[in-house]
Amino acid sequence: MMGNHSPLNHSLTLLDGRYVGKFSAMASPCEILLDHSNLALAHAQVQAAAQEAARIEQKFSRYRTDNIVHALNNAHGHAVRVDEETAHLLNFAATLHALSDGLFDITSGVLRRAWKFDGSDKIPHPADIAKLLPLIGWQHARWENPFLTLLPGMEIDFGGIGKEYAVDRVFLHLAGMDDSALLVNFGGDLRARGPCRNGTAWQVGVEKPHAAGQAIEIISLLTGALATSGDARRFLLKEGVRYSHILNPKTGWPIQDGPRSATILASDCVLAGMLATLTLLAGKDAEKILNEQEDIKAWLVW
Amino acid sequence: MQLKKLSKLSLALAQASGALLSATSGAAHAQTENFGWQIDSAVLYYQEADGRVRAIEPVVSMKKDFGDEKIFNMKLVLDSLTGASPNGAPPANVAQTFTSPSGGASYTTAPGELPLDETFKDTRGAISSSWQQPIAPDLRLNVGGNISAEYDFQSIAANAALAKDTNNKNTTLSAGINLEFDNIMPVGGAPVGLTRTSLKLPTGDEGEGGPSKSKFITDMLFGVTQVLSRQALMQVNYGISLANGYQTDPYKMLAVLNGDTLVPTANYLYEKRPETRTKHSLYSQFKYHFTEDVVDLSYRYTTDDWGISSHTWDTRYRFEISNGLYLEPHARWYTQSEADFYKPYLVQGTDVTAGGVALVGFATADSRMSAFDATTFGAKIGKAFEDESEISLRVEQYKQVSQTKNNLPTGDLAGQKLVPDLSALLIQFGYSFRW
Repeated sequence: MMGNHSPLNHSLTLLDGRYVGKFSAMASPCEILLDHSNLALAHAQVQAAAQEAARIEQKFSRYRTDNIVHALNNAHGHAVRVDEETAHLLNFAATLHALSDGLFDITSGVLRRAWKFDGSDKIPHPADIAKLLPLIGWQHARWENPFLTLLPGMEIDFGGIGKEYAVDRVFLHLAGMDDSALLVNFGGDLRARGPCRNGTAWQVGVEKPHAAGQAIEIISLLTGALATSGDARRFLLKEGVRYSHILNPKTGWPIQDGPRSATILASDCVLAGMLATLTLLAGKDAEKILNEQEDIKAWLVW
Repeated sequence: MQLKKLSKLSLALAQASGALLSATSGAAHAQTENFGWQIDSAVLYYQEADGRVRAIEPVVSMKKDFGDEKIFNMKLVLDSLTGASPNGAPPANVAQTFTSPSGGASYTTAPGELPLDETFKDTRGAISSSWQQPIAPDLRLNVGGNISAEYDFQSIAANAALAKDTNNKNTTLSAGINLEFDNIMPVGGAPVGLTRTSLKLPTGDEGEGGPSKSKFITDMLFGVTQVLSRQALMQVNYGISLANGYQTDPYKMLAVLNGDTLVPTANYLYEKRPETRTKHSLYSQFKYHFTEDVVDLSYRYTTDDWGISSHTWDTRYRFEISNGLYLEPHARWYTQSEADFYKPYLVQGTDVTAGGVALVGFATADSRMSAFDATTFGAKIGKAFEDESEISLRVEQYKQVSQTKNNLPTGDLAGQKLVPDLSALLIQFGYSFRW
């Protein structure tokens, strides 16, 4: 077993004949599992993975002041020209907005100013929510590739797509460096390619339905991606009513009676993540929506 | 929620996520996308009846889309003209003998024939290119240039245009300007206008005659394109063109009639046109898409301070037959009035003295400055293939009918059609492909 540290603060260990690279990005523990024994390659892969994750975080984080998201959110009603990668993400967000009838909306992040899901009973005042609503709605944004114009005060947030996108990007990058099996896992959103050299699939843990945070179901994943939306631990509880952190951007209030979290197995991580998000946004119809899809496996926590 | 109706939601999403990931894979390193080149090539064959001008014109145009609405265009044209061009004198009942512009050779035109300068032969090469890109939301800039050269003529031009989309992209406003500088170096020097052809002397650049002449043209265009419905589109343009400089055709002359008799050809006069010309044009186009077919109607009106006004009606209908095969009939009607200084011939005593001194300021007998009607009928047939290539064949017949009347009852020109009608055949073979 050996360790390695670099300025990007990643580590590489050899565990049971596989290289395990670890680093931290997007406020998540990130892990890559490489089913080969080539140290130089593993080193290059973990470095590339950490770099790509850091690049995406730097570029799309809403907490920074030196990136395109900050420029867009502080343009005060002016048009901002975006680069090609951002444009593709905006196109994707626009598609999701249309497919979800406006329920998936990258401009809904301003609701965080009113809602703090800390497990307490601090429900925001309806007037505070109403005040924010005029700033929400992708339909108010002017997206004319490559120019995006937001209303003054409007903000976009790629938080709902960013991590899944990073997983896919890192996966595709690493997959192109070598033919062996690999798994990229950013805080539970993951994508894998198999089979491993010993002929087995990857073993991945999924939270069991109706038993949040306790039981784990181990599934075999040969090739595909898994993403979870929702956090069973993030909610507010007041007078017996549970307020989920899944907010309806049209009303500013939580989606009621829906699952607390959804985990979806699909071909890529962005797809899995977005299906998981849309499932939560469907509220009590979540199950029905899922039953209508083909080739999708889902785990819901109600 | 819309989701409920979308049983194929996962498929729609898979398509979107697939597009996102394939579009951006490698984006961290290389930001360019390759859309390839769109190449359009064509060879045009143009033949005027009665052995007049024949032209063969290969054209290649290349277009590359760099994404983000950035588009590069380049076009190469090679014109090869042979045959004979009217020299300005009308057909007569007597033979007319002329000395060619180069001074040496002479040619004789038989009675009843249109005098043609047989030495007409030219090759022209032109290259133009343009670049278009967005510069602000809904605002596109297009800049371009053009160079063209033949043995006695060079032209260089630069242009810029702005297009602004408004009203949810249903309306596009555009404004453009083109500046063109032409240099003319007539064979044997530019003659002094309205002097006898026998007096042609190569002179210096001072005065009217000289080896090299130039003109400068400024064109401005203002347009509105309006989407009327999902099927219909309408466009209206206004253009103004200001030309300043040498606009005379150095190879064209006017016959002189003394009573009803032609004077000796040596006493014919070189033509002369004003140095300035201001032209206005109004163009409107209407396009309608049926389920598959497309109809395209347009009308253009032009008027200038030389006195020429014209009307053009143009109509095309594209029938989509099947499997990419289409047939597009085309009809065009054109009519123009004559220039104020157009004269099929000069009259001695009125327009010119017996000694050869012009009494008019300007005069031309160029049939393009006369009143005429013209029609074009034809069709294009083409086939588009799945690999985005396309072949096409266009065949058109052009017919020009003069409105210049001959009222002379007797003499050398009696009974002659002062401006003979013209017909021409146009055949174009085209091949487009992606590369």
